Amino acid sequence: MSLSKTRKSPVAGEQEKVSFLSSLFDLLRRQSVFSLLCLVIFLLLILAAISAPLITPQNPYDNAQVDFFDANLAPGSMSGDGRFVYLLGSDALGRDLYSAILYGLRTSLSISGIAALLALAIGTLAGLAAAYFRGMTDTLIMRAVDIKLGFPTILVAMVIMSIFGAGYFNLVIALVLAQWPYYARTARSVALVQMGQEYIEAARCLELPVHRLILVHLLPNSLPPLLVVFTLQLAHAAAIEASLSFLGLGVSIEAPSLGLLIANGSKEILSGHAWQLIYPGLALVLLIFTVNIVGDRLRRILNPKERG
Amino acid sequence: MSTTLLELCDVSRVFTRNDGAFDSLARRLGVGRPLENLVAVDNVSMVVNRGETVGIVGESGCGKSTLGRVAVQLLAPSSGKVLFEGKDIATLPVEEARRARFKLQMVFQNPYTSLNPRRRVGETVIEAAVSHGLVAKADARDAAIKAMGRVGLKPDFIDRFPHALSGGQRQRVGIARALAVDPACVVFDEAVAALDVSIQAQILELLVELRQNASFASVFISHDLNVVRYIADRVVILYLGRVVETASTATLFEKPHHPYSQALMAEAPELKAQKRIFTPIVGELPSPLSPPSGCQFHPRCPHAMPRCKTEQPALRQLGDGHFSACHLDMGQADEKHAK
Amino acid sequence: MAEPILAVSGLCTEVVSDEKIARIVRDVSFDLYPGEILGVVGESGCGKSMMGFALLNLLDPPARVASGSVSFAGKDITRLPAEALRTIRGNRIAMIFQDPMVSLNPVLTIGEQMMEAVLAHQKVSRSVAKARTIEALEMVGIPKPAERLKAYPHEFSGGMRQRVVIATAFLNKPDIIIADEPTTALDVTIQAQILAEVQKMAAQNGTAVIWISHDMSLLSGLADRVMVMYAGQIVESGSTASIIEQPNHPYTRALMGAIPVPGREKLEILRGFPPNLLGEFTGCAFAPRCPLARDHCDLERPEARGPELTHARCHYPLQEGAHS
Repeated sequence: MSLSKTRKSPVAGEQEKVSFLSSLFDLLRRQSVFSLLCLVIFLLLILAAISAPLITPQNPYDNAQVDFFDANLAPGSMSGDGRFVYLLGSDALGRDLYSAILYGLRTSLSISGIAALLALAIGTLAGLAAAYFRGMTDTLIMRAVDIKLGFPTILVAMVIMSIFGAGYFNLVIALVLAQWPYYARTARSVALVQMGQEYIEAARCLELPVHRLILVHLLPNSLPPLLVVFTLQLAHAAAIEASLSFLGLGVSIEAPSLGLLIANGSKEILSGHAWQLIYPGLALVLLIFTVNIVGDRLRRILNPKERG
Repeated sequence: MSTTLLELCDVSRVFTRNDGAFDSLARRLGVGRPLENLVAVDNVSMVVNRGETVGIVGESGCGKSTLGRVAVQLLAPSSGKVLFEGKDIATLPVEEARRARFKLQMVFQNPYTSLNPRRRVGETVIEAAVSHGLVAKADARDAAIKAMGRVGLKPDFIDRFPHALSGGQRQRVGIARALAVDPACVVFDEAVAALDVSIQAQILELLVELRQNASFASVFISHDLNVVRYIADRVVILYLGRVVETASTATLFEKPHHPYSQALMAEAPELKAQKRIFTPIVGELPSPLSPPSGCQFHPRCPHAMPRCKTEQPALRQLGDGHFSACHLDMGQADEKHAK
Repeated sequence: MAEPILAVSGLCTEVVSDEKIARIVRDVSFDLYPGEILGVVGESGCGKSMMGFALLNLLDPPARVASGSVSFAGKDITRLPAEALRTIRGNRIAMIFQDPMVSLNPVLTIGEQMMEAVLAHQKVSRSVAKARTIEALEMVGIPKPAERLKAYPHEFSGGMRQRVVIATAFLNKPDIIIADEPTTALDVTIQAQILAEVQKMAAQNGTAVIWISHDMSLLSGLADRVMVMYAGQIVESGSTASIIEQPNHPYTRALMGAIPVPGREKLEILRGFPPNLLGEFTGCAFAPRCPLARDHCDLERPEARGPELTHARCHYPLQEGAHS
């Protein structure tokens, strides 16, 4: 993390970058092998989502590549043209479920990732501003946060989606609006502690410009707990995205999405095509579960009180 | 150029407990609890002349840190004025006020929280000077090395993070940071209290040396009389936010007038080869939320008179620059002054 | 002289981490007599706090007592089972830490905690325990102690809390009190009150006190005898008066020279840092910082020299040099 703009010796900076991932691995390994495993699975899921077109036999959302006559094939069946095997079976439209899941993962991860990053940025700035300026700014921002937190996140997201309609970017906006208050609240409480530290007083004494004080001094020191919130909210965002898509309020109906796959699968469950529900469901559970475990262990590592 | 650099005129600082909207509404309706006011600094006037070191002494809770923060404008005074080079900072135009505040720097007590843990030593030291254009960006590294050299830090510390430094080294960084912007006055708030005796000696000697070579005035806040006696030219003794006595260091330690000053001196540890019987001041430091009436020291004072309970003693001149706020032996003191 | 109440012999402690062993306390031996106030002085990191913990067998892994013995009433504390230790700690030997909140339970009232300390060790009725608690609080100068029993630790100021802890240590009239810089964070006025009580306690009840501090000026008024620690070793020990007037070890002199006493024009500055405690010293541990070090100091480890109660671990003690 290079957050300062002034010069630093290149060697020392390099060392830090190398050590960030490896020290994350190291910390998780000390917590438990299980949490390290979760991190690896999560990273593999991201990798699979990014490289989906390369490692799947078909693009299930390209009608030219989908063979309608291969509908509802059980896992392990050979495709009609004999080119590949439906590893996880196919769905009612003849799409390869394995491919559809990876494409769906792509959508789900990118939506929740972008939304979580935007919410992190907006919420953090709002929280830092509230802590730094106090007074009216603080009251306004935190009352907005309180109002938002008074409603369930999913409800807020649903209301926004039903106003703006389904779609990729509307979903991102809905998630950001629903999630920024969590970051703002955490950022404010961490920053308030930092504000009481003497190094902030020193920076004020030195008459540093406000933006510098907030971005260079307050932000880096408030960041660790926010990263924990980020991982947990990322999992939450993925779940909300799937839920909304399941309800038809998420991405448009022809876009790939885990939620839509699950919705379609649930219609097939009585026809005995259970795999169409189980595999997308498992993929979603695996994603949310691993992110949650990683986030939770990060929280324990970063909170000395829980280290025990 | 007048000799007075910084002047505090009848400065008070009151802290009000911020108890939220509900309580303030209740109070307006006349059913809530009354506001609790903590008078941390109560009508204090003091002067810092160019090049001199003023010591501020008192127990914890006497308002000495608050006074220091008011002096460097980290806190605004609730009433009274802070004059820098004869001008009231509060009434100056924004840009001029900023320049004045920039000339007032502070060195903090806790070497562990006073440095940003995520910034390298060099950045910490030179950041403000670069930000204010005192040093060109291209020269920042050399300037940082120079500033560090003044406080005895080797150039190879420049890329280290604070956690790799000892307490004494951190405190040197704090001093270098304050001095790098060429301040007119530096407030040292218990700057050596958290350090071992041997490290404390290093920092004190460093300050003595810096003061000889540089032209900044300093305010040295400490609870340790021996330290203040060593470093200060003039001493102000505070009790519950009020000045009880002020004099040149030599006068004050030779002839302390106020019973509180005398008690403080009797209790300060000394390096003597014989065991001593400690004779503590009786009673407690009263809560600043409900200070005693009259002379605030009267409940603990061995010489308290009926008058002390009702009448607050004003600062009275006893000699050249020697003031004390005590009703005791007024006659004598007046006589002395008359001579 | 009477029998010592505590006899420490060859005490060594170490901290083990990642196959490295830091030897923090190195071969410390001393006797403590009833009614005696023994000061232990040194810079931070010299092992004085860890020695205090080791005396009560309070070290937690990775720290441990490596060798040596601490004998109290004929028993070696370092080898006692936990159950037997509990009857000694807090009852016959009490410890006071620098941070009072270490010793106070935030969810119990002061009265509950202090009476608990009495009842845990002595078969007395609650009313007797209460009376003793009030008496102890009175002793450390807490006003209206009977009313204060119902208060919680957070309702007290830092200085008051520390006095409660000290009162708790006094409760069972222990044979020994081990105090680890308990007044460092306190004002001189409160410090004076506490020192006065400790002196009274030692004089009236024959309580022996080990007072750990980095400040020689504090110990000079309080202690009968002083041990100076450096790099885990006792480098000098002797009566307070003799150490202050005629220090033998250059480190002792440097420590005292750093204190801004009235009339001192220049403070003595000790350059450098305490040594790394991982390995063995080839010579005198202080030699690299010693203004008087000679070649010999780097080569041979100095042994403690001088009479039993007054000795310095130095090849060229100051006083001897002055006389010859």
